[in-house]
Amino acid sequence: MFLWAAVGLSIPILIALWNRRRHKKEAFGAYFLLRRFSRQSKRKIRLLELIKLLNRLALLALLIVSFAQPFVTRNILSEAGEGFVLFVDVGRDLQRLTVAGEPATQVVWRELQRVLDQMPSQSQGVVAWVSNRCELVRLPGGALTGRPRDFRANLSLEAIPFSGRQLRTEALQQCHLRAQSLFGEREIYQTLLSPLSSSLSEDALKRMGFDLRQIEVRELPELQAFRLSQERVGDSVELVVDTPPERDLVLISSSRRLTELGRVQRRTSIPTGSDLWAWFRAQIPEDAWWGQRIEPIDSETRYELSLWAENQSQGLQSLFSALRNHPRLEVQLQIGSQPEADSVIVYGSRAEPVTGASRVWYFLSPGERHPFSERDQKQWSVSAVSEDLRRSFTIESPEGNIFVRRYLLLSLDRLESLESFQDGAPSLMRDLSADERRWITPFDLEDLTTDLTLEAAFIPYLYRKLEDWFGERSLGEEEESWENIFALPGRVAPHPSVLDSKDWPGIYRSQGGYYQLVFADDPSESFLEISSFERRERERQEQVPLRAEFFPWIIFCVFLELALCAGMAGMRSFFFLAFFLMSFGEQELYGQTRQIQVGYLSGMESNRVRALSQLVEKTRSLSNLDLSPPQQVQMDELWRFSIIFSSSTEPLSLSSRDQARLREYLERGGLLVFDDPLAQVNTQFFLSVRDGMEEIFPGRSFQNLSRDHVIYRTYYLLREVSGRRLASPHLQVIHLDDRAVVIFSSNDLLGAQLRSSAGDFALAVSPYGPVQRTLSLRLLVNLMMYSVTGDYKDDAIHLPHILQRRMR
Amino acid sequence: MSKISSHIELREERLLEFAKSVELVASKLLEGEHSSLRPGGGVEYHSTRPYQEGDEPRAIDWKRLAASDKVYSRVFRREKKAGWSIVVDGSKSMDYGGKSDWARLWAGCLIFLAKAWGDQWLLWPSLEGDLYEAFAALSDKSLPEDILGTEGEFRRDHRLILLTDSFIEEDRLFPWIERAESEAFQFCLLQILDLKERSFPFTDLTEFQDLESSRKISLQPSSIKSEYHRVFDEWTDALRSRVPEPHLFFQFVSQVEPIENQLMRFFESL
Repeated sequence: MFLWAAVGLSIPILIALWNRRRHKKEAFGAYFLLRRFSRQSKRKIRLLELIKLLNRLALLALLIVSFAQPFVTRNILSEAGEGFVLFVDVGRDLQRLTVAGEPATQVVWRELQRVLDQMPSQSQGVVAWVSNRCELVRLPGGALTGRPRDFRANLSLEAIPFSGRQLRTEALQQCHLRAQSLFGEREIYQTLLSPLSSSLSEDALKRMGFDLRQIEVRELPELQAFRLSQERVGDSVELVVDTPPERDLVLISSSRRLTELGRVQRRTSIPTGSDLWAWFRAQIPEDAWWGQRIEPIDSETRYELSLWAENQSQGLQSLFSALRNHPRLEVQLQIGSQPEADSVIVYGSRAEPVTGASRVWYFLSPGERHPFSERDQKQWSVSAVSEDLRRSFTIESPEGNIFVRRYLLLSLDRLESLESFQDGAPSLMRDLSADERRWITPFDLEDLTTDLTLEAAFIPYLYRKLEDWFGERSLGEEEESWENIFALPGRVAPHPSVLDSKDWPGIYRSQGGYYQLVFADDPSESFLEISSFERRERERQEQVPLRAEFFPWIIFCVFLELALCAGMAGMRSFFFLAFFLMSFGEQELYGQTRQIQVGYLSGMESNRVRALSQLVEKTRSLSNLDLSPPQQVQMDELWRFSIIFSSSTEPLSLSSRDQARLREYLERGGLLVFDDPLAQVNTQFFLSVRDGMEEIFPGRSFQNLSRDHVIYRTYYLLREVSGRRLASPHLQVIHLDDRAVVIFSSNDLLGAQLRSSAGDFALAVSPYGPVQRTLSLRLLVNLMMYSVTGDYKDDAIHLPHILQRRMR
Repeated sequence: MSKISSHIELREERLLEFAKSVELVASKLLEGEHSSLRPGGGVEYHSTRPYQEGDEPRAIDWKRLAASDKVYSRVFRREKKAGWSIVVDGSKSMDYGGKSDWARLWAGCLIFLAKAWGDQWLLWPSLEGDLYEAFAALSDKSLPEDILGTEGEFRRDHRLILLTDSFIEEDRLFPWIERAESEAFQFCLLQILDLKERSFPFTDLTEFQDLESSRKISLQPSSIKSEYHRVFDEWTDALRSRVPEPHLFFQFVSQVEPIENQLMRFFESL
């Protein structure tokens, strides 16, 4: 019906013709003054008028068409109506060529787009990258779920984190569980795009009910195996291979330089030097990584180690065996007597600390004697099957989860937690009071569930930790200092997140040394048979309205019309229009300033800034506070912010001018919250804040905040402080007229809320785990609420309700 | 023959109409309150000589008659007064609006007043003395088109008044003005403009044509209006810097302000 309105298209044409008729001629006396305008030719004006006419026609046509509610019909999968989950294999098998000779990466990308096109346009879904772990795709704004068009708009081949890890059933199960938690009981459509490597469990796939879309990849050729040994001959190292393979030998140096040495010979002499690797490069088109081998040139230091135990045990033998297999360790087993070596691993019971060694590592047996202050023990019970409980016995490592049955909870007075179980309880500690490098593992290997776990996950974990133990760096530094110095060439360039998570084969550098990641998964075995799976897809047709597609073009045409009119009406009008639009923008900005502004001082740790952003999002969902995303505070605009955070390892530095501004801000109602990211007392940061505040408010100092202060009940009723670690049982505050204006937390409140890009919490909390994390969130929300409500909850009207809640 | 006679009749008719217009304007200035504005009207005492027949009784030196009993007459020498050289720009750009008519009316009035005051006048470059011929030239618009290229001398005892829209190239106009300023007793420039030339009131796409060269240019006036005003002001400032006030007058062909008022202000400023 609306298409009859197309007759209206004649209106702009008539207007244009009318204007053409109005084209005037003027024999002008002051032509003398017009000569400089000769550049504005008649043709140019005609062209502008033509553009204007066409734009008007387009605008009118778009309006008519959009009101006519056009649609296109396309085939969709009916079972995806309530939601969809698209699992995309980004693992090692994607480095292959398909049967048609195309890179599997491109095929999987094309297939993903095709599947998205088949999803109903209004259904919500999730896309997940799966390899040895599961990563749900986050849309801009952090949303995990979105409509098909959202994913189409935001995904690209370059953004897919193709990894070197093999697709694992556990990762698929993890993804499957997360999808179920997102969609609840709804019937959703789940599909897996993958070459379906043999590493997958057929039964598990069946249980999960995926619609499998297999990408058929080429079979891999047999490769000649060879054995490599290295012999030191004077100042050089000779690489000796028993059967020279048909591969090229490339020398990789730590300075990222590649030296081509031609075909592999039986013996190749290489000058010794630190940090060299031999890359046996295979040119196998079927698989970019098939047959590639990287071996470190043996020029590194060997470490001597004594494994001490009071008695023989099975776990001791397992550990001894694992240590002996380490290429750089020379291990001696010592039973009883005094440990005699520079580096000692104490296994099991020992009451006295080891003396005279520069490195000691205790593997403590729960229930046995040990020299540390014990707080509690934890033991796995078979009857307890809760997932949360299981997490508290699981250590997460890149190679997989390590599950233990019993462990000790030690007092952390003089210990620092280096690694933790998934619930935050320490799984590896360092003794801060000892002169030597003293590490404590609060469980022994007797309690590891199976030898399989020990082989697959614990030994790589142990090797990595041993290198840290022998090295000079701490684990905390290690996480930040990984750097890829050589990435094995693949079908696509490695995504930064893949390199960051060390999921791409190659050589990585850390402060204490080099690490080589070459995956031993053998993709040559046969693939799963998929004939037994029933494809559940049923197609139906969907009418997709196109009106929304036209709106951006309508707006574009309107702006073009305005710009053309403005341009033809002269610059003054144009500036007027620009001013109008800018004022409109300012009005919008003004609208935004009504939000509660959260700021942070310059110099704040970047991950704490991220944690603050995540906290703001969380607070918005938990309360009715309309918080704006956090912004860095400019000192001359302090007044814009209701609450300002600061969290840094560096001392706080404020000029006298900044101090005056800060004083005025705090006196006029502002709130400044310092959060120590080290979660320790009397750090440099704290001392600098204390001194700085004494200069701002002479005569006032930090005092412990009493538990009946309104901060503990502005939103949640709290009884205690919390944070990533419980370094201090109090918040410290500076008061002005009964109002807390500066708050200092030594427990790293923000650290407890920091999430990684995968959505998981990035840092472990100790000693109470998830409860402690929740309490820290509540305390932060209370601080946010306090910044806007002050002592509102101190009003007597709230008292009965608060007392009633407290009685529960 | 009939053609010639009809032409003459037409010319006479136009001349009569023009003369009436001039007289109407000039009479307002000559009569009543404006008569005292005539410049150079005073006489000065020169000498005394014995009375001669025909001397006016008011010239008799009565004090000397009383003292000597002889009749003497006082002889006055008339003050040497500046004449008027009127230069009217006859270029085609002056045909725009009422500029040409306005300039010719100005010129006619100036000549008429000079005649009435007994001053010398010259309708540059060559018409002088004969009011009829001057008015005929003005009413016929038989004035030189390129006034700056016309040969003619500037009289040292004349005020040189140039009536033009001044839309002439700088390198021609300014040397001419310089010569006029140095050779004439006084130089005045009356810039006659049509109101449209100042306000540029056009809005729609317009093809502007040069009245002199017939060149054309299509412009969207609304888009260049401010720029035009800027160029206009620049040109005016250039004139002002070359011919400082009070010798530069901007006069608009106007139905609002009567020409006698414009003339009044002109004479007052001299």
